[in-house]
Amino acid sequence: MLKIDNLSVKYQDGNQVLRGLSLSIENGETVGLIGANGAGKSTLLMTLVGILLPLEGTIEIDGLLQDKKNLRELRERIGVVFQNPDDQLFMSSVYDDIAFGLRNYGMSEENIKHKIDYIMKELGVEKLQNMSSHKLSGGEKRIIAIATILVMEPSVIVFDEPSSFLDPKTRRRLIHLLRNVPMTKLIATHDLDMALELCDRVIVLKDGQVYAQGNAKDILTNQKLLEEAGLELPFCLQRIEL
Amino acid sequence: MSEIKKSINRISNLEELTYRDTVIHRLPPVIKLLMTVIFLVTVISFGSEQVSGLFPFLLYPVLLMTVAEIPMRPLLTRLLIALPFTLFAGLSNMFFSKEAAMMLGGIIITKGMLVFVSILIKTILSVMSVLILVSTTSMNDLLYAMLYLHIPTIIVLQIMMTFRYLSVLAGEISVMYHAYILRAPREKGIKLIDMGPFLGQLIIRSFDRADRIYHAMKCRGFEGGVIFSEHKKVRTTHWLGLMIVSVVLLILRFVNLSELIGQLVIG
Amino acid sequence: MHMSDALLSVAVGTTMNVVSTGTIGYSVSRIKKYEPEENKIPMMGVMGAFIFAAQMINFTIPVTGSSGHIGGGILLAALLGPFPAVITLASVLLIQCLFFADGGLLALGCNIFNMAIIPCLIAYPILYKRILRSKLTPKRITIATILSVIVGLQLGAFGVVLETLVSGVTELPFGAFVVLMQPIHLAIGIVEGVVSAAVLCFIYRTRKDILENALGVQNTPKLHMKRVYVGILIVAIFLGGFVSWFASSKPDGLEWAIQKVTNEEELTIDSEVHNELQQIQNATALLPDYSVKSVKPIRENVSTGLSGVIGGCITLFAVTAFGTIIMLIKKRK
Repeated sequence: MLKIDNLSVKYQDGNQVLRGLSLSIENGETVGLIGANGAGKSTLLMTLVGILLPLEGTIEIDGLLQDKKNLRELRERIGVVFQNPDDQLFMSSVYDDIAFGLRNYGMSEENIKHKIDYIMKELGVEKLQNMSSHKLSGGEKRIIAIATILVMEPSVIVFDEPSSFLDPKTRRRLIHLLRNVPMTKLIATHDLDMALELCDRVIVLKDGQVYAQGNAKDILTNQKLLEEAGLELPFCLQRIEL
Repeated sequence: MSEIKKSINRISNLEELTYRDTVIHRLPPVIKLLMTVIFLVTVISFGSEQVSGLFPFLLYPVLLMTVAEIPMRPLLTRLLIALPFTLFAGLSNMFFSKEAAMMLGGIIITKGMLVFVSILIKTILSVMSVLILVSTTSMNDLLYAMLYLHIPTIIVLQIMMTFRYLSVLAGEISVMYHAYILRAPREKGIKLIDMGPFLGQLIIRSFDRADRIYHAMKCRGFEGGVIFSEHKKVRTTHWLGLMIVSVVLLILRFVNLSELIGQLVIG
Repeated sequence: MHMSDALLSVAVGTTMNVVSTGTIGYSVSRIKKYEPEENKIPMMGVMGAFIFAAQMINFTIPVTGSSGHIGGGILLAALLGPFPAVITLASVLLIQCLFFADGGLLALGCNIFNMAIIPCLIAYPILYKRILRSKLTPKRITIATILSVIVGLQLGAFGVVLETLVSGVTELPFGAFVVLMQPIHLAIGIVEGVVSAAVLCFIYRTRKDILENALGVQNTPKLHMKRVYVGILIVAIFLGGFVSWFASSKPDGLEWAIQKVTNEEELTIDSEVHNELQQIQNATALLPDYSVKSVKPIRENVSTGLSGVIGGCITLFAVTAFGTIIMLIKKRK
């Protein structure tokens, strides 16, 4: 279970982004995190993994309270898929990239090989194992970026705009893939259609606070609420005249 | 900015050559790296006026290129680009060094001419051997070869990341360049006055990117420790092979094969 | 000014490789010691790629209308600090050498020395750092950058001249070479200096912290820099003295060693040489225009010219035939 209580975050330049934000996510839940630009989505994600440290408030994952000293342990439990796969795939081969986290946590090469073979087969990308990351297509990069986190088997995975830069077909493939990810998922996105399809629950952020939360269908069909938060209805619910 | 695209394509063309599967491709990268260095040292060690002794060394690129099925064209175009500078340095010898070196059917061959030809052949040999190395060995394998030779991880990582982000940064700069040129159609390039903001912007973006990469590394438990696997074992037969090649190269260095053949023919 | 293998002697190549490797090793230990945070690693990697990309853009040089590109030594040192900058540039030079045949693999030591170590560890601390130590203002940045880029490039170009001449492969006279290299690199230096200064002033306006960090991190190395200089000085003396003596008196180290080994051959050459010299003298008399300065090339070439040419042709033919045969066999499979 992920529990955030009264979280406040301030940047070095004095700009306060999160103001007393509280929320909790049950194990196995898929939660969408939506909100206009600057509402605090990315800041929240970065704070969850201790890249930004909170001014006040607490973050708790499976009973482990976030603290400067246990960041390493915390990061084993919560994985982040960054918005731009180019930032996440920094090694020269796909294999070494997926192995990166496992090696840092001291797993033996034999086990690593085993795990990588399994995960790549599962994702249907065995062929890419020995490729260089910069040779992959946009969609392949995204899948491998997700694989680098999946292979570490964290209990929570946080996604930052997973459907950005993808063509419709690849986006569809991604949605299928995400649906089959068994871990607890927190998906920060502007793609409300995807949120509607994937998420059990949706949290709306506005000005660094939780503005509304609830069942995905209830929230994402509420035009008034969405517009107040600087958003609009998912495209599939908009009447577009043809 | 076709220049940027061209450069990236060039790297990527060489990289694609490494996907083949031949005897040469399968050799351990360390062996190939050392073999290239030994070959280079032997070639470079020839005196500046020696020409005939270098001919047998042409066998090295010819043999490797045919066995490794490396197409001629991409390597030769690369060679042509590398030639002008050494050609210039070589040519200048023709003017500065006019001492006679030998006679051939009544024509005087000056030292300068010999030096010129010698430099030319050395350039061909050295450039080709390095290009053969990178078209049969992937960057990843080369990095592992460096680790095998105990080059510090920080340097290997540095080379790896520079190589990894080449295409990303080149892509960014090429988009910026187009955006600039479209609004300044009369310019041949970026105006000197605009270079500050132009490169400056890219630097700041690169710093931000480096931060994000660092975060991504941290999120997967990076503490500056081991990030590469143990390197593959190199078999004794490979070392033996390397030794044989070295001995052959050394023999060719000491014994001028062309001379010998020539003398046999003349009698 | 990338040096290639073909113009290099083994002695100079090896010496410079040792020097550069040593300096890089020292830089690594400095980074490990003074920057425990590993965030410099991705920073250096991305900036290496940046330099590579930046070198591909041509900018127009006013008045002349021609175009040029930057080298980036001082720029990188000002952004990352001198030691990370050396390593970053070294990796760029390695990639250029491998994939673009820009500079040779054996010449890598020379190229790293001329284009990375000289600007970052000599020009940067002596000029850039000293000028900006007390105060960081755009005006000072401009002066410091332009000065250090010019000095760095001049020293680098001079390095190329020295390394090439000491190698003794090509016989350009020292004076001509210097007159050729230095002014060109003065012009390049002024332009690169102006561009680097403009870039750094932009960074000063937008992200001052980057420049301050790079300057601040190396607060301590004053004493250590001395060690680097002493090292470089020793090598310079070694190069200038021992190696050049070696190179001039014994045309080429290895060759000299080889001649020692194959002593007998030289003896047999001697008698033939006399014959050949006579011929050459006759020839020069017939061709008075052609200024054959002196007749003292007592080398194996003189006696064995013809057999070398014939044998060479046969070898060439054999190599080509060999290649073709393998190719045919491969194709048939």
